[in-house]
Amino acid sequence: MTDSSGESALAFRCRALSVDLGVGEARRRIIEDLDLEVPRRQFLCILGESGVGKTTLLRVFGGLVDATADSVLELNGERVVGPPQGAVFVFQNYAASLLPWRTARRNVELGLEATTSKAARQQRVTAALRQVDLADHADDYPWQLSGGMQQRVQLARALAVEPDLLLMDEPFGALDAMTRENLQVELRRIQQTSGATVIFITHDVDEAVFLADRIIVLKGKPASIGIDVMSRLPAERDQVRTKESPEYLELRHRVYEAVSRRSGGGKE
Amino acid sequence: MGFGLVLWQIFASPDVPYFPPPIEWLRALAALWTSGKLVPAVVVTLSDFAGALALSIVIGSVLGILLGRSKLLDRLFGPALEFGRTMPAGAMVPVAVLIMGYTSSMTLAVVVLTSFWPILLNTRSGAQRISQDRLDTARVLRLSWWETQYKILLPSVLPSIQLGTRTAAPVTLIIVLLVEILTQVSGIGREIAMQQSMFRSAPVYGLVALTGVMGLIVNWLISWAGHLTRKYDPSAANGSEQ
Ligand SMILES: Nc1ncnc2c1ncn2[C@@H]1O[C@H](COP(=O)(O)OP(=O)(O)OP(=O)(O)O)[C@@H](O)[C@H]1O
Ligand SMILES: [Mg+2]
Repeated sequence: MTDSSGESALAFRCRALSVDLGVGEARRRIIEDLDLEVPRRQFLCILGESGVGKTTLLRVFGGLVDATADSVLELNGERVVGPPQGAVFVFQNYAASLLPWRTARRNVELGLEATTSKAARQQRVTAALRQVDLADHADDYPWQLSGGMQQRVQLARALAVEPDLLLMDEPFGALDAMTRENLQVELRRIQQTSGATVIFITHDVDEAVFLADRIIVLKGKPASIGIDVMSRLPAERDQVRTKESPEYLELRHRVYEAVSRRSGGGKE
Repeated sequence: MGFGLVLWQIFASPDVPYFPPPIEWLRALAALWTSGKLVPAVVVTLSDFAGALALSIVIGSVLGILLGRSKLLDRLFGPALEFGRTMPAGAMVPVAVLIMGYTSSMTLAVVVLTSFWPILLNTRSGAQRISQDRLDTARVLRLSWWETQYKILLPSVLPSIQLGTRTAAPVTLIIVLLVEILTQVSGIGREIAMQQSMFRSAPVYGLVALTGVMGLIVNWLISWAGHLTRKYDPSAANGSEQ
């Protein structure tokens, strides 16, 4: 969010990152020796076959899971221990993450209640709801909203804390194609205006190519970075024109090949 | 049931003292009322009941959340729970009397120790079922420990607490009466025991019928409260454990 440091400033950095999961005998290495630097304002998509460790990696980034002791993990130059200030996670399972006894507005407010005065809070919540186009549904309960709207409430809740870093784990995975495409456009627009760094996990190559400034494919057991490519698409994205552009098709081709080489026939 | 009472009224013989007709029950109750004994007894029983149930809800839900959310505590106290929940209230009365004497706090202790179990067990299993994503949400939004307890955990287990309370409420009333009958300290139970020791069957039947009516009202109140929170979280109206 701090403009002064410019495009090239690092938001997020990890070096020699390894992650072990499981207890006792079943403990094994999921991610090994991963180096990654994410500049501010970058929209990074992470792809990889099911079970490769995408969710695990994102949970480590979000401070929800610990990496091994010698791993280096920093957000804005500070070591990540526990969920860091300035990073917010958006869960795939919006139904579990939203509180059913709170209205949309009160859900969005949740992360601000202990830190922000009531007036400032109202203002930020209203702004966040407007950003995701839900101002008219502020007083609805989650179960009165469609899946796509509920996911937008979760997004608004993340935006309300004005994060530097948005960590999104297949946030649109449970939505229908139409809703999904609309939300992709919205998310891309929000990211551009808010200036947040986004790390976005998906199964869907088209989604990744459409959204990303940069794409990483995870592969192997334990997982590490397979390919790491920059997008040459313009910052503004459009479901029709972007997807017809040669840059889009070329990138899609490359990423598809990288993904399917591992999983033997990249589906989804 | 009403029909049964009518038949009883018609066929009961005034010569047999063990089965007085229902009209006699009412007359006996009316007599107790005018002698000024009925109202204080009902008040004592109801307030013991309400106090014990409130205490059970507090103890049961706090312990239930703690045990449901801490594997360590659950492993430590799990076996003791299995033992404690099967302990019959009647067996506790002599011990409680020894320790606390014939007092109303003794009544409260015995009743609470029996009736908080269903609330504890339901709350514990409700707390165990809270989804990881919901708990992670609290962490990611950097809620404090205390905020997490009352903004996330407590509302999440509220339907379970309520379910446990529905099971506990009738038990609570029964145990209050049982302790009153056994110890004859106060309340409706004491009246029942005293009338019974004087072989007056009509007041005994009348008082027992009165407790039945109280039980019905309690059940009705609890299920009415259930409808209130169903509105608040329609997704959580499932799953229970005795
Ligand atoms: N708590 C755990 N203990 C041990 N192993 C685990 C644990 N959680 C996940 N794993 C293993 O770690 C690997 C990576 O899991 P992860 O959920 O990160 O995959 P993913 O790439 O997100 O998959 P998907 O695309 O299906 O969501 C899997 O092989 C899984 O079996
Ligand atoms: Mg995953």
